[in-house]
Amino acid sequence: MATNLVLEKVSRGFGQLTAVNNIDLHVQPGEFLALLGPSGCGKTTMLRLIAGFLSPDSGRILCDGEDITKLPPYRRKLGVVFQNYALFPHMTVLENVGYGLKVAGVPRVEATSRARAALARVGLTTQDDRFPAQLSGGQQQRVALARALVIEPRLLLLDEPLSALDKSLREEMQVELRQLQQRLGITTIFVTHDQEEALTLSDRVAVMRAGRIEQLGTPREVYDTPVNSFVATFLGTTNLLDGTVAAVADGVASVRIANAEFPFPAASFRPGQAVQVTLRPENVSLASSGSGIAGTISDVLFQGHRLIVLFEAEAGGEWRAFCPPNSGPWHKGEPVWMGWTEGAAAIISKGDDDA
Amino acid sequence: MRRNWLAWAWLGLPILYFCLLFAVPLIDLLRMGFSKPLPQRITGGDFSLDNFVEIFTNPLYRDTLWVTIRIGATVALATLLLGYPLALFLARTQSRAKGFLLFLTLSPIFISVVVRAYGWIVLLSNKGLVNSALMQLGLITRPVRLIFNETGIVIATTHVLLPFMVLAIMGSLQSLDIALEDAAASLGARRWQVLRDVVIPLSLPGVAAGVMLVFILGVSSFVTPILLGGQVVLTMPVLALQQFTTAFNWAFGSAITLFLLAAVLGITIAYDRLLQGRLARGAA
Ligand SMILES: Nc1ncnc2c1ncn2[C@@H]1O[C@H](COP(=O)(O)OP(=O)(O)OP(=O)(O)O)[C@@H](O)[C@H]1O
Ligand SMILES: [Mg+2]
Repeated sequence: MATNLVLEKVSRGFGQLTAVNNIDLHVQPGEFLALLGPSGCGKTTMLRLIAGFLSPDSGRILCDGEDITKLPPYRRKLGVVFQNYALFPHMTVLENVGYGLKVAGVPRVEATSRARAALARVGLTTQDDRFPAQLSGGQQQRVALARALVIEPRLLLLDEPLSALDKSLREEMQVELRQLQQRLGITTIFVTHDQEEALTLSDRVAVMRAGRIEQLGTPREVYDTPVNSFVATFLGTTNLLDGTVAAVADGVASVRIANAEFPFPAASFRPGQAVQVTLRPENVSLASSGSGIAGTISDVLFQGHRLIVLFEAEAGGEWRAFCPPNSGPWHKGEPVWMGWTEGAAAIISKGDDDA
Repeated sequence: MRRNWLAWAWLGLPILYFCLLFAVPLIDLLRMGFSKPLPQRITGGDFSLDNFVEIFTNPLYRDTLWVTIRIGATVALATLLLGYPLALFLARTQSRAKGFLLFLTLSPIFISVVVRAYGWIVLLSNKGLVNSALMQLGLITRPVRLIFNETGIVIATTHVLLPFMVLAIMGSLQSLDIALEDAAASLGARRWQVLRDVVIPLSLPGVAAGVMLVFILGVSSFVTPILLGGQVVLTMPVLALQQFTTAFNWAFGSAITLFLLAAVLGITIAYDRLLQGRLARGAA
């Protein structure tokens, strides 16, 4: 049975800076959770706190209900894969992978066969006697993964394990990593600053900023209904449209943006309130006639798999739309109307965000 | 063109420096060493191997060489045993006193070697602090002889050379990725296992450099051996110095110096060869 992990009001500072600020987090058994955020937001610090390399200033960390806050790292039994892999340069591949078993006192013959099995599991079988410096980045990555998995850890912690790989290898490893995690059913926390990677791999994404979790949800939730403009802009490109609540009735807020009004499901908005709407470029629909926000096309960029159409509203504001390459044809200077299918844009109330 | 001229000047200055301060004295030393010692000319006469024949046939010089190497090796070992924990502590401590502790460690370098030697004589003499303390504690009944013998030389030289060992080891410890230690710990290794399996093996290049450096400095030092050996313990540099300053036989003094130089060079090269094979793995 996979392990669950709970962080209760965990904080950790470095001098004046609070790197991890009062974090509450429940990671479900078998879950693949991504910690996503810009550089310096505290992702690594959080992972180090969980692994026990750092101790929190306050708060508790629980693993299957057991308080591990004060447990030294060597007794936590967590598998950690480091950003630069941290393979032991003076040990062979097999010695690296077998190290966790050696210090646990597993007899040598058994340790060797288990290390070989772990290497086979990550698809690396022919490099046993090589040293890490003689391996490619992808191979080193696999060794690091095998080394972490061989001790049958309760959790797998990965700190940007793929960031050093080139794009095609990274995509290949993403799929492999996900499949391996699913096969083992091991609870996994994955740190990344690559939003696409986080969305692709994980069951849930925790979007972090400045030591706090801004939003925690499934990839769809954080992508489609971001809680603030930080989350909206961090997860891919988006258009932020300024609007005002014109009327609220029957749980539907009518929001005026430029010269048009759009309905949004709304819980707690007042008429007259200024709001921001996030609209993904791929959800924008452009029409040469009809309703919506009136404006003109200021440029069309061809990207191969799509077109980027830049739209300038009559009432002010420039936004972008991603269209299929064979749509349109759109021409620079052409008058168009911009809109979206209901539910494709989400309201972010202004003021809950200081970005 | 101008640039070219400047580049040559940059290159020329060190070459000039090297020639004047290193090559010329060395050539002179070679000439004197391989010359016939003459009572009337302290720089020696015509080319001859007499000096070296004397060194190799007279057992006094073989014994002196042995004493010198023994002192150098003991000092290297002592500085290693004392210096490694110190370097480890200094490289890893988060303490605000780190700068001060480092300064304390390096302080022997800033004090004149003569002052330090006399300081040790005071501490180690028969009525000195060390002997009094040991007698007070009842550990000994009569003072132990700690100066004017090899023990005194080893103690004082260890003090003098400890900073070099600490710096050499610290260098390799500080370039060691902390993540490696974290990785070992996450795999279940206790602190001593991390030390045994990761930290020590990966700091061996620094250890090797430190041992070599201290050994060379140890066998070639003469102020400390003269003062703490009280001219009773003879080491090669002391012997050479005596030839230059009291026996006025520069030719033989040069030969002793060359012999020591060759011996140290030989040992260093052998040591380097021996280690290279082993360290290549760790350094890869
Ligand atoms: N040992 C430390 N001492 C002082 N400050 C630290 C230490 N470790 C981290 N910090 C600071 O804490 C903040 C969070 O660092 P952390 O490494 O957790 O960021 P991160 O989200 O992993 O960033 P990146 O994506 O660049 O790896 C940063 O401002 C960093 O400078
Ligand atoms: Mg990081």
